[in-house]
Amino acid sequence: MTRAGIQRLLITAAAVLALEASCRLGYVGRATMIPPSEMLAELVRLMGTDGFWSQIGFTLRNILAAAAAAMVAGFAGGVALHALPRVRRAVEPLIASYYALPFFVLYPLFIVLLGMNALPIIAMGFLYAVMAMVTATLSGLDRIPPVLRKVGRTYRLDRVQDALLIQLPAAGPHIFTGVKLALSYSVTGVIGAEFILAGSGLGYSIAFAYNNLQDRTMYALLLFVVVFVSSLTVLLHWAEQRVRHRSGAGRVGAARDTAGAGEKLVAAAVIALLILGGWQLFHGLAGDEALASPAVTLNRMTVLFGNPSFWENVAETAKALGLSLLISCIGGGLAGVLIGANRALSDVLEPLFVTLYAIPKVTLYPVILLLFGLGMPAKVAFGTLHGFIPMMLVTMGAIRAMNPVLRRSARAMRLTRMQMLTAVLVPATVPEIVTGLRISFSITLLGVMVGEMFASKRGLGFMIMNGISVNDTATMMSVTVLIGLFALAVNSALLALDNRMHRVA
Amino acid sequence: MRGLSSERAPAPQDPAGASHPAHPIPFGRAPSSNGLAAGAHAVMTGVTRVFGSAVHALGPVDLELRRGEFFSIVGPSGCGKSTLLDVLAGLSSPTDGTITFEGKRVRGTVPDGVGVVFQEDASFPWLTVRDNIGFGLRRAGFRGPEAEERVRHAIDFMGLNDFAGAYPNQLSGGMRQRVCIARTLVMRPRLVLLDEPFGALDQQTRLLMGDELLRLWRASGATVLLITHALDEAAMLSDRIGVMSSRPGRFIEIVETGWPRDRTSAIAAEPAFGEVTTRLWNTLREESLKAMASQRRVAG
Repeated sequence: MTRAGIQRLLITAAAVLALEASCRLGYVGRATMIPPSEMLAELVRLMGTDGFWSQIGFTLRNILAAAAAAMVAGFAGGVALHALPRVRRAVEPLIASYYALPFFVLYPLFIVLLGMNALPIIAMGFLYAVMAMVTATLSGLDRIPPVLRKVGRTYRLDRVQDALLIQLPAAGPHIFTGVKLALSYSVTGVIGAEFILAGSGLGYSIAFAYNNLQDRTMYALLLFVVVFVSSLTVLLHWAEQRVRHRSGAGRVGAARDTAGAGEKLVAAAVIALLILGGWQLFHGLAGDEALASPAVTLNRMTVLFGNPSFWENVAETAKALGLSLLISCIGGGLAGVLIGANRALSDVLEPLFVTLYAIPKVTLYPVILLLFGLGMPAKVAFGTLHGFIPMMLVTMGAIRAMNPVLRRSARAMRLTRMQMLTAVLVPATVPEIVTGLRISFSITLLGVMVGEMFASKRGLGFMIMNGISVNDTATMMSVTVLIGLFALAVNSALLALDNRMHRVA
Repeated sequence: MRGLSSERAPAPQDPAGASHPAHPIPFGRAPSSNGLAAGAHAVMTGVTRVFGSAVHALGPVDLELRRGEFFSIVGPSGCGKSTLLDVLAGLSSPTDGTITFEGKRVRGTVPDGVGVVFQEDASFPWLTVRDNIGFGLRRAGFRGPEAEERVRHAIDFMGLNDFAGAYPNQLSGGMRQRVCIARTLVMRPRLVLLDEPFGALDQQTRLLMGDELLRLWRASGATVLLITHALDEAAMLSDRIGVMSSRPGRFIEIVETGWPRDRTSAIAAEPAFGEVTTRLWNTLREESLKAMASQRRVAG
């Protein structure tokens, strides 16, 4: 094991011991959390019971099905978008906003279309994972050095040979990252969907234990999720490093958007019409009970706009989002700069944060509720839980990837540490920081929505959850569409800024 | 004085491997597929290349490569050297004019018998050195002991024995470029096109790689076209050197060096070598100034 690996193990062990001590000494109340040793003992007991492994088996099967479908569809989607640059430019803001959308609103639709079985859960996992595979495939294809395509032509390879012998292996490491993400996002999507909506599986068991005040069982199952996801993440990370190390991936920068405004508008209009057409089609197949039509949704929107309580909910969500973004972006960015500036420290901490972030956050909502109670602090905690780590990781990566000669120049100019930070490190990484802001915005918005759905009686997320429980599909869809449009608008602006920054840099 | 003569020095009777008898000859002599006598091997006539409607990158260019010669092209930055190579290789089509290789028209596809080495690292990072070098042979249907023998000889000839099972990211830049050269030459091309293959290497490595290239050229008997921005490299390696004008690139002078076929980098110590480089620089200096002025205008 490497030195950094040993240090990571020691940090993890110290954190577990500190939690154990806090619980035992009463700094953390028994009503809030039980000591890790008791979680483990309870988990061992649960493993000997009848129902445990059948629930795990059900969840694992769903995860694998969702991941496999997402890998195949995501790869095909990525290849198709790469071959159609105009379509890609048009859908880029949609892709960037994708993870801000609360997919759970589509669950009733899936039940009507796919039946009361595991398929709607698999569909949730699939939706969560597929875009990660699409973007990783695109990123891999973008990074194939043009000279390799020329080499293929000198050997007179046909299109299929070129794809199989050159393009696929050249893009392989990035596509493997997509496979890794698809698997870990499937875990999040499936366990999250089971937690919120289903009647079986690991996620459901956690929700059931929480709702029936079985805290010991709940924490034991959460421990299982944490250990399972951590092991999976470490394994995938190791495999990814091996693939990347061998192939020396990422030698060429990614393609950046250079389309004209007119072309974008036309393409956006075509995409919007396609989405509306698809929506109307699904409405026709599933009916009002599962999915409100676009017309009914629009009508409900106008009613909502005239309703003062809607605006109170908007203000509530805006406040929670603003606070979460402030903490995520400034805190995450600052932490990223400070940790990234120290290579040894970031070597140790980065994989820990990556693993921590892979835990399905929805399942942590009972812990957040026990710590913060219902209301604004819990929502902000949820938003921050989602957005902080991505912002920190992107900033850390940017600092680490900075041209070393800039740092040496700063030292040659005898800048102080603070001058180096403000005059060199931060300006050199501004384009990546903007990318981090863009990613963090979408995920924080989703976190706030999920927080409002479970930890609040106010806000737009609560309106969606309320819509699900009373089967008011029109309100559910209206709020979802408005959130989607808001995410799309902000993401388009940030994407434009991102592209501009990377062109200048 | 041998340099700058209009007549070429006669080629030795058995030049293959003459300066490195310790090494086997992995690439063999290029088979003459069409029975042409020594003379025009590849011909460009009135070739131009215009990108879009505004960027006139090349030409009109007329060039006749003699069978078995080592021809280099030098010119100011952005004068269309790489464009010329792409068009000659069949990697892109000319806007106007014709290209023939061994009497057949070249149009948009790389003809059989032509090998290209690029400036960028074009090794396949997912294949070992051995598999990289054997890539084209497998593609062409060569399998079994003959293919293995050719790859083994190429690895030996290039001094990569200790790295046959290594991946490119475990090699230095110079070794990766040797892998790319071996991957091209193991196919025994009759025309080898090299686009600044040593551009990213340090000066010492470049000199040594130049010697290896000469050795390979003698061993294979192929015609070589080398694009370079290094005047000393062109002067050291070539039988003839074409000097190109600033964009749109045209040949403004063809310099015949008159070096013997068994030359090495030691030729750089001879007075005639200085005369060749001086002559190249005198021709090129004004063109380079023009190119810089035009770049300044574009930047402004």
